[in-house]
Formats: sequence, C-alpha cells, structure tokens
Amino acid sequence: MLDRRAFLKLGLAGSVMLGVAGLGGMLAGCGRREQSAAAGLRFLRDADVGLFRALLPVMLQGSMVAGAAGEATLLEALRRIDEACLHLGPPAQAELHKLFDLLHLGPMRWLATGVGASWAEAEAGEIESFLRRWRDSRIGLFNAGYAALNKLCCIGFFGQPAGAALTGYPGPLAWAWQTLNAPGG
Amino acid sequence: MAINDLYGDGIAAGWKVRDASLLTRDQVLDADVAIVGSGAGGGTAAEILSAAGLRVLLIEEGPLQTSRDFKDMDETRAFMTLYQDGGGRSSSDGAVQVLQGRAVGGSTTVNWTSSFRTPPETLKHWSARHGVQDASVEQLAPWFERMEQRLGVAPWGVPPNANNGVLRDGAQKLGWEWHVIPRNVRGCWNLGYCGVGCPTNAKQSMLVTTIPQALHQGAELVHHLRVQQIEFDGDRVTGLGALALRQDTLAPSGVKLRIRARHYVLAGGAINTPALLLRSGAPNPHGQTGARTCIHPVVLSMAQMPARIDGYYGAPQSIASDEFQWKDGATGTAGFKLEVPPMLPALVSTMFGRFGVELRQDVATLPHLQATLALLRDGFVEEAPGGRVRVDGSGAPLLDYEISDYLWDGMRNAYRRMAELQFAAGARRLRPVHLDGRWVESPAAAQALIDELPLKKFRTGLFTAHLMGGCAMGNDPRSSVTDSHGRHHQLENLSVFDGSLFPTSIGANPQLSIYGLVAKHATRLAREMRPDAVAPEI
Repeated sequence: MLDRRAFLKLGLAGSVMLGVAGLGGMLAGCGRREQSAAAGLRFLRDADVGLFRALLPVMLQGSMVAGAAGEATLLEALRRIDEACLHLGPPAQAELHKLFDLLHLGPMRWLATGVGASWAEAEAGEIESFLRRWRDSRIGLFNAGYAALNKLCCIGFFGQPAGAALTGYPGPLAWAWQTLNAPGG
Repeated sequence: MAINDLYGDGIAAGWKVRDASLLTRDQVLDADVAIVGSGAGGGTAAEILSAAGLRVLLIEEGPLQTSRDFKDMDETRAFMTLYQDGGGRSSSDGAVQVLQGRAVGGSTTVNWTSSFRTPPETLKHWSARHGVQDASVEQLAPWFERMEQRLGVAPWGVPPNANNGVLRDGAQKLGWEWHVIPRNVRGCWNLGYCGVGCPTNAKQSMLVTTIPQALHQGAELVHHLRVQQIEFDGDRVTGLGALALRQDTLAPSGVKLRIRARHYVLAGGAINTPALLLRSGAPNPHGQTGARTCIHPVVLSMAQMPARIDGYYGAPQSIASDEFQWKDGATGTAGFKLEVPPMLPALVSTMFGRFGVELRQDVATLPHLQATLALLRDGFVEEAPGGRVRVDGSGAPLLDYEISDYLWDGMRNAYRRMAELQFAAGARRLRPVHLDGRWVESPAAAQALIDELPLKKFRTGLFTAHLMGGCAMGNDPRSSVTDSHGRHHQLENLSVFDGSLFPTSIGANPQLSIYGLVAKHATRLAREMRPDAVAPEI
C-alpha cells in the first residue's frame, strides 16, 4: 500500500492519479456511464450532488446562508452547476467525471483529500483543509481540480441575483432596464 | 423604447431563416456557396457573396438570439446561450479559459467591440516570414476602410468609464503610450453589456449588419446545424454532412442534412475550422492543419481604487496601451497590449481563487475594483509557436497549448507593468490574478510578490478571447494550409475565411483583421464565380 507521500509523487507523473480513479471506478462496478443523473438534473449524479451539498457551504461560507433557510439558494446553485457541466464539450466532461469519481471513492478520496468520511458526514474543517491543500499544492493536477470546483461553486452562487448583490453589483442600470423591458419594448 | 426586432420583421418580410432543430426529416440543401459559421468571417463573406448574386447558404451551430433575448443583461444567460461550451471552453489541459462565441453572429455577438486594423509590424512579419502575399498595409487599407465604414468603426467619442480611466490615467502619469479604442457601434447607450449580447442593436456585430443584409439579398440562414463532415472526391469538396441540433443546442436531434454547393467556405473560428478539416480527414500533407494556433494569452491584475469604479457599467473597452507591444520589434521579448475587461460579478468572483470568508471579502470589493489585462503576442518566435488543435476519438476539438519561458517571462513583465500602472493611477492595493496572488499595498511589495510568483499552469490565471491561426495562409504549402487568398492548397473549391488564416497572433483584438481580410478574399472569390457581377479589384 502506498503511503500518501508516495501517492502524491505518483500524481506528479501526469494524469496517473485520475486514470487510477477511473480504473477504480470500473473495478468497483460503478462506471459513471452506467449511472443516471440525479432527479431534476441532467449531469450531476446523486453522489455529485452530495459532494456539492458539502462543498458549497464551505466554498461560500459567509456568502451563502447555511441550513434550511439557504436551501432554495443551494438548489438553484446546484441547478446552475449542472447546467454549466452540461454545456461543456465531451473531453472536458470526461475530465470532470474523473475528478468526481476520484472524490467519491473512499480510499482514493482519503489519499487525495484527507477526507475519510463520506461527503455528507465530512466536517467543514476537513473540507477546508482539503480545499487549501489542493489550492496550495505544488502539483498542478490538484490546483486544476481545485480551480474547477471553485469556479463551479462561484458561478453557481454569484451568477444568482442574490449572490451578485453580495458583491455590491447593483444590477443593470435601472433606467436602461426599465426602458428596454417596458411593456411593448 | 422599443428596439427594432430585425429578425422578426425580416422573417415576416420573407427572409429565409431556418431553425434546424424544428426539422423532422433528413434533407439536402443546395447553394452556390455554403458558409460554415456566421461570425466575423462568415457574416462578412455572406454579405459580399450574396451581393454578387450568388445563392449563399449560411450555417450556424449555435442559436439565433437577438436583442429581444438580451434585455435581461444577465451574465449567466449569455454564457449558457451565446458562448462555446457555456463559457467553459478551455485548452485541453484546462489551464487556459477560452471565451469564444457560439450563436448567429459568432463571437461578434459577444465581443467587447474593440476594432483595430492589423498592426503594420504584424503584416510585415507575415510577408517576410510566412510568405503571405498581397497583404501589405497599403493593400489592406481600402478593405479596412470599407469595413470600418460598414460597421461604424470610430474611436470612442464618450469619456471612458472609470475602469478604462485608470488605464489612461496610469499610462499618462508614467508617460506610456495610450490611445482611444475604435469601436464598432452606432447609437451606443454606453451600458456595458457588449459581452452578454447588445440589448439595443447598437453594436454593429454580424448579427445586426452583414447577416441581415445577406438575408435581404436572398441568402439563407440555417441555425442549430452542426457541420460534422466534409466530403471529398480527389481535389474537390463534394458536400457537407451536417447534424441538426436539439433546441438546447447540446446534442443532435437525429435529423441529418447534406449540403451541396459549388464552393465551400469554412468560417467556424480558429478552433472549430481546423477541427472540422481534421475530423473529415482533409488532405494535410505537411501537418499544418491545426498547427500554430495562437491565443493572445491573457494575464490580469486587479486593483482596489479609492473611488467607485463600477466597472460593469459603460463601454467595456475604450482605452488601450501599446507601450510594451513592439518594444524590441516583432521578434524581440514577448510584447503585450494593455486593456481592461468588463467587471461582471460571476466572472470576477472566479478570479480570486479564494474560498469561504476570504472570498466573501474579496468579491465585496467589486464596486471599487479595477482590472487591467495584458494580452501577449504569440506566434512570432519559435519559442512561442502557438498551440495545436486536434480532435479526439469522437471528433470533438481539443486545443493543446504549451507556455514556454519566453511567454512566462513576458507575463511576469506584464504583471509588473500592470502593478506599476495601477499604483500610478492611485490604487490602494492590488493583486495579480494568480493562485499565489494576495493583496499588496505598495509598489515595492507588489514587485517583490511578482518576482516570486511561480509562473506555472493552473496557478496562473490564464484566459483567451482571441483564437487565431491553425489554417495559416501563405504561398508555400509546406508551411501553410491555404494560399494568400484563403483558398485551400489541396482542395480547389474550399476556402477558409476566418481568424484561423492568421500565420501568427495579431497583436491587437482581431475582429477588424478578420473583417478586412475576409472582405478582400470574399470579393476575389465573388469575382471568380460571377465575373460579370463584381467590379474589378480596388
């Protein structure tokens, strides 16, 4: 069994890590293509939804209201993330599949992220350490994985009017919006 | 105020516009000229060829979206409907984000209106190093002039917004060259939403100029139609195989179309055009198809200013600086052009690379935030030869793009100069768009940070909105894909009329370079096909 340090070195060799994850997925009999999207979505599977349900409150801590009060915003973020993934070309979608598969497989997830529990059970602090580790890693693949997750969460939330308002963005100029959207306009 | 709905009125008046997603049966379409792609190249060619009396079929993979659809001025709606891959297109390794249009009008529907003639240095380099003929400053001048008039191109006559104002003030203070950007607008409201589709029809994109005129001249537009394959017989193209897309444009509907024409024009842009040739197995004896694809790689620096910037409002690009563009000539150290981007909230939120409370604090600077960008000139030296477009097993395009020390050095220099400029203009603090970027409050701290930045893929925030090359023109088939008039070297009835013709990057925003060059090439083609209908060369 490789220890984590050796495993990270292995990652340096290129996309070995993601390749291994894909292989693991097949060995475990849960190749992504056999799984269908979560209810109401077209790309994200149930497990991916679980991942983003855990990630979004940490990635957007202080921005997105947590708990039941924030459920509608979270669902809308998931819908937007799903749509963004759906629009990607097949090669980029395949890379995302590999990334998500890596994050779902218990042993792989633990080696790559340090998160042992399932995403539903992971502590916020564990998720923060994982994000920091991937962001600050000297291994480009981890940086790329972090960037993908960060971008998806950001557009899922800050693309929403309520999210955009938190940045101080006042929205389109009111006079122009009213003029253009007047009845018969 | 009602904005004239060009397409509603036009279709009512008999324009031939078809939505392929509504087709239920396979069919064959005939034309004199079939044009694949409706952006800067395809739109310009459609107008000129239809004016000569040729029956033009203009094919677009994306949807027909008009000012009616743009009234919400919403960033996410625009990305999902008007951009390649929903705005998520990237280089094959994911290191460079690619912003490229995918709708009727192509990238001209979503670009930021900057309209520069091809710099003389670039044209000289093409002639000297790439065997391009008939493209001197003098030979192209009348074509640029014609397209400038056609599209209302003029230096922006209104004071710049504060985001551009910082670039002007900083450059002025430092004694750097700066200039007012010529824009292709008529009656612009100065709203700032060029990038999400102009809601007032002021931007003179292909969507509201050449395509309506071509339709008025009898051309046919079919959107929601993806050309999958070029068919050949010897040195002639015999047809195109195309797939109708579903309403959401994400997948084929199952309906197949075959297109037959006397001449074929590829204008899908500098990723999709070479990819179509490669996917089709078009003759490629010297491996040039898809080679030397240039992208003007962009790095950015964000600055918090004392006064409100409101960088989401007002003409997004109105000031540029070429201070560092040609300092050591075309083939010296990596040159770059300085400009600014529009500051829409979702896109800006992705540029900090932070999460949690830190991200919350960073995004809240938006009203005071200024961003400067440097677009680097690639393709001029062997150390920066551009990337390569290839296709995967399913035929999907991939852009491989490596960055050498030559370009990294240029980027570090660009970060330094942008910081210098932003502090000269009064910035309180700034941060490079880089995973190791952090707020720094003094010029000395900025230079120290930038000196230490690890310039690597995935840590450096890299973008491109300018795709160029991959089907280079030139007179030597060993180093180019088409001749100097855009005619494919091996396929006699096939032309490439888009940005993929460029043998290098442009060194400026490329739309006017495409318009001018394609106007020249398309006029020549029209004359060949209809000698009686087209005036002799100007």
